Amino acid sequence: MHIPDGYLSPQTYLPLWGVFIAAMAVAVKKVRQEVSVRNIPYLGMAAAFSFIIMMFNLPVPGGTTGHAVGSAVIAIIFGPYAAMISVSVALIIQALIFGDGGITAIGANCFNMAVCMPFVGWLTFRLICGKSRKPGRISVAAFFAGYISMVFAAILTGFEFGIQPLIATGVDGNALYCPYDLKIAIPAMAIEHLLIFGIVEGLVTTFIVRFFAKQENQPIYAFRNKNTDE
Amino acid sequence: MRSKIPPFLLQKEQHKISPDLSGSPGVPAIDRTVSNAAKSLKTMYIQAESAGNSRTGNDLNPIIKVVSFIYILVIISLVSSIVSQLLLGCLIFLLFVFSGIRISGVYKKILLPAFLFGFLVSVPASLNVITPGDMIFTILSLKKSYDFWIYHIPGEIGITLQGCKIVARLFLRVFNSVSLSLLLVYSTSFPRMLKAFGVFHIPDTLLMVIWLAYKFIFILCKTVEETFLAVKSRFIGNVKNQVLRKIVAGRIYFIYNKSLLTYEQTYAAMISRGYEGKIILVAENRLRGKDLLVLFCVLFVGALFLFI
Repeated sequence: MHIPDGYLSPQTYLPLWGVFIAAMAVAVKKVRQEVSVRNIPYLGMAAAFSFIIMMFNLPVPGGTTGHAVGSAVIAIIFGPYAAMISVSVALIIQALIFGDGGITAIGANCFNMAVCMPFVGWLTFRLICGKSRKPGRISVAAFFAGYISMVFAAILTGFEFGIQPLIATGVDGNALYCPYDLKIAIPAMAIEHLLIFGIVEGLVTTFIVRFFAKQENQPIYAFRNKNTDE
Repeated sequence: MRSKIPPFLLQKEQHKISPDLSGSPGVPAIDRTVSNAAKSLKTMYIQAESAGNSRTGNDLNPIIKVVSFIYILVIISLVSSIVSQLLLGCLIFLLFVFSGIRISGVYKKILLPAFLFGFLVSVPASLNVITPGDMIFTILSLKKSYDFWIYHIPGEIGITLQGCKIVARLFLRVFNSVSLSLLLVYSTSFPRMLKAFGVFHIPDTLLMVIWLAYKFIFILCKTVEETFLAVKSRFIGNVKNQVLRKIVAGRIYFIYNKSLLTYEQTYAAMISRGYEGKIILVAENRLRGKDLLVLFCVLFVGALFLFI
């Protein structure tokens, strides 16, 4: 789902850079309020943790393995704002050092996977799990948090691809950037994520959250009482 | 002369524990994934830390390098002519040559992502189903054209000239962007690159988070490798998927705990060195005449490409 350089027009990547910067400013402010002066190494650690999570391949039923983007699981464990920063930093390092995702597309990639995805995952988890701490409920909530957030981000990416032939064409009327319009880009992105990658993300989120939920010291942000945070 | 070595010592080993190739992923598969990821992380870390030893451009101010890099990247994204993209590719190639970077190794790294993202993803756009135009090669002839829902399949499916141009443009754009990114990575160390990003008014807090994450990643990566080696030593043969899922989830939890510990230690180290919540990044050297001249040349050449 990492958009490479060359597929998005400046009309798309520049506004998305703007939205991403604004969202990051809000997230940094929120996290500073929540974790006081300790925020810097904490966020660095969260970013490294989200990067490392993407390294793990988990066996999923059916004989295949898959790795999570991890936005939903990071949002459940660290909270949505910390997830926003940590996943963004992980994506920036991936683009700058490993060439995974474009530099001009960092704004778009971060908007899809670090801004929208953690919030969709977080809201889905809270909506389904509520105040319940039953393992079955947690598993179902974690699965749908991973699944829905992944599919949502994929459709968003498909939309960004699909509008390119509408907003950036040459004098001959042909596409200058991504050549696939909405009726091709959205189904292409949605179908593979609805049927394969969304399920993988959901299962990976379930396995990790379920394991974390079993621990005595309850490290999951979503289960913490706001009054006992600090 | 007859050998006095006992036969059991000459016998070839029959009881090797082979990786499971039946399709069910076992510890060796996970181990391979982790060790490969750790290996590439370490390689890139060494590369990112030791970059800047190239012949040309080594003494250039990193701010100029980063500004020029982003400017050329934007030019690559704006240029739509295939000839201009080819010329940009030649220019980047020359910069690699002058930098004294080993060309064959670098271009091997460039070709894979360029082929995957620039060619494979865009190649269906060469068909008239997506890009109508002058047909240059017919692949399939149907009895009639079909319409279903919002899609139209023409009676004759083939490659169009306009479609080929789109594919060529996208491939060259991705190829040039990846080349340029690698040129920056190979010629500027990550710490210097990060400091240079300060010129875009990125808050020091965020730069510090990126810097710490960059350091933590490689510390945690070593931990991941070591824990997997420890886990592997506990198992012989294949392991059930259910057990394996518990192992991996357990390792992630362990990494989380290790991350927290590293964070506490880092914070304690920062406090002991006088950290009071304010971040001070050491400023880069001032801009010299040579740096400004290079920047002017880059701006001029970049603008030139827009008008070719």
